[in-house]
Amino acid sequence: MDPQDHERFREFVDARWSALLRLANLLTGGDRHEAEDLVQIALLKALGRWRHIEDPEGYVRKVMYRHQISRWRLRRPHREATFATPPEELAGVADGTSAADLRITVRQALGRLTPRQRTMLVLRYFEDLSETEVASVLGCSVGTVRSTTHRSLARLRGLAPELGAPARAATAAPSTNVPRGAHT
Amino acid sequence: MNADQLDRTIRDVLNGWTPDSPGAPAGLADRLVRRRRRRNLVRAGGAALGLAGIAVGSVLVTGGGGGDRTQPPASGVSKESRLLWRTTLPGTSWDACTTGPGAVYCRGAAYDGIGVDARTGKVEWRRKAEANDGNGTPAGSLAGVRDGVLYTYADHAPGTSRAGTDLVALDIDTRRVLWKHELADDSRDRDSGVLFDGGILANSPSFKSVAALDDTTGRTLWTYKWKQADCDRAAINGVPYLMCSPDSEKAPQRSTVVRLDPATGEARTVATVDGPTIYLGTDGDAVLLGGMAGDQEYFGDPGPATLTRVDLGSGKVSQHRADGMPMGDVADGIILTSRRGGTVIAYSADNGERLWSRELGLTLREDPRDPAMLELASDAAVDLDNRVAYYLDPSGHLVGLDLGSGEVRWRGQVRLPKSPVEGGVAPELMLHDHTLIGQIGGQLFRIEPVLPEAGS
Repeated sequence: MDPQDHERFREFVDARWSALLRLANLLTGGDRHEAEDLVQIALLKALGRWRHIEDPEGYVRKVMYRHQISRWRLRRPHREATFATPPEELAGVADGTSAADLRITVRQALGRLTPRQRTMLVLRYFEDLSETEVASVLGCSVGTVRSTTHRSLARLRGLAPELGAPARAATAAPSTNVPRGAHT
Repeated sequence: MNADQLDRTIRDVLNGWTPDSPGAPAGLADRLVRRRRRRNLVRAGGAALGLAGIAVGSVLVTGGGGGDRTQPPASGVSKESRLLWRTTLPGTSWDACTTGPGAVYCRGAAYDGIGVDARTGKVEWRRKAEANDGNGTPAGSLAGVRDGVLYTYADHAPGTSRAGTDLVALDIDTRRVLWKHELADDSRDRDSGVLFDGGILANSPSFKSVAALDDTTGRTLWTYKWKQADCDRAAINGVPYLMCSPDSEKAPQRSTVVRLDPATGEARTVATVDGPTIYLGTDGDAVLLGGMAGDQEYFGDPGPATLTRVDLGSGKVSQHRADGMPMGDVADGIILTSRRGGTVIAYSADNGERLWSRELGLTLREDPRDPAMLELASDAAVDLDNRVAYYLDPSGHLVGLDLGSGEVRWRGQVRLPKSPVEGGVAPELMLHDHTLIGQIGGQLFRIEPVLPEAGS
């Protein structure tokens, strides 16, 4: 590797590790070890074409989504999730009234979704990708994105009753007019 | 909760879900670069016989002293062998070995070089590295041994985070460093230092240049530089050559084979072919290049390939279709390509035709930290006299395949202490006087295969 490329890669890793690990944490449902593995695998793949990549972060994120798909296929044995949540915070779930409690409950429910369901929600709600973009990234149809999102939300409501029943029988996928959030 | 409230809640949760350790682990980028380099080295390093060692290389190039090519393959599988010795090397991390007259030489994290008596397995001498802090880059191969000098690699700035790499000439008798020369890149790959008639070709002073060094003094004899290409280096019949491929999509999309005059460095383009290529090895007086003929993204991806033969004498180019990239060891007109999981495919170096394929039947374990990564078998060590290609797995199992048919002719095993799985890292196997010298981590051994009698 050219020393300049090496330096550029080093700067990229230092600057973007936190954001990439955050995404990986979501994709893996809070499994810290898997999340770190996922980021490293994607970085290794990016290294292979480093000098040809114009948008390293976009490339690495895309590799992570796709690798997550291949992980579904690998059917890895389940590992206990190591949530980035202090134990005392988890203990507050019981009363189920405050917004903080609700967030904890939803977070736990997200961790219990299937990887496919969780990835779909992460791409739609965290990455703010449109249905078409999600379909393109995951290599499936827009209809599959819609139906999976719908099922994921239904399951989320089932796992977290605090979310309540849907007000109407309509999908709660985010509007495509929502502005894309900057990658943090 | 209506859809909008649910939407907001999920966004809140996802955006508030942060890792508890926001900083990248120290040195992570450098570790990834080294890890990838090791993978590349062990996967593609066999193309020029680098990992099989200089002695194996010379056997393959010269035809192994007149081996009997008409000898029919023997039937039956022998499991007989004689373990001549097994040695535990000092230190823990060893990455490259080579053979010389009566000796095996290795380097690792803690030692720039050690010498082992090939007859007894006794470690005769060792030269410690100045720092063993894990910052140095592992080597995929050693540059070689010639006239009592071991050409090895050492950290240029030991103990620093960017240790860099020196090519080091080490006098074997006195263990004295004759000279050292800083390399532009710290790949420590099979082409980082290439011995040719009249000197050693070093990747220096820049990433896109070579310097020919006097092998006894280290003095720079000449330099040659290039642009817009990545150039592989090799010495073919003692003459240095560059095999260059475009370094980006913006570069001219052609590959060239360039001859460098050993005395002056004067460059002559032998042949030019369209598109990017990868250097596969040499077959007699021909350079073999591989190109992607499908919609692959990388040279290692599955898919059809174009095998290009460049005759170095006439510059004549011939191209042939192959059903996969024939990347691996070239021996006597056959390219032995290892596939994931331990399958070897033999391609004709003449026309890219698939000749045979064979499961090695070796033990290649899954890396528990990354199930996508498997252990790798060694590159082939080819005995042309007996026309057998040998392979070694990280657990100490060995197999010998008939070069002509792919039939298994021999199996052996060396009992070794249990070692952790290291996905993507291969052991090393070298041929030495019809015996095999293997290196797996810190274990070095010599074994003599007993092949079945012809016709048995």
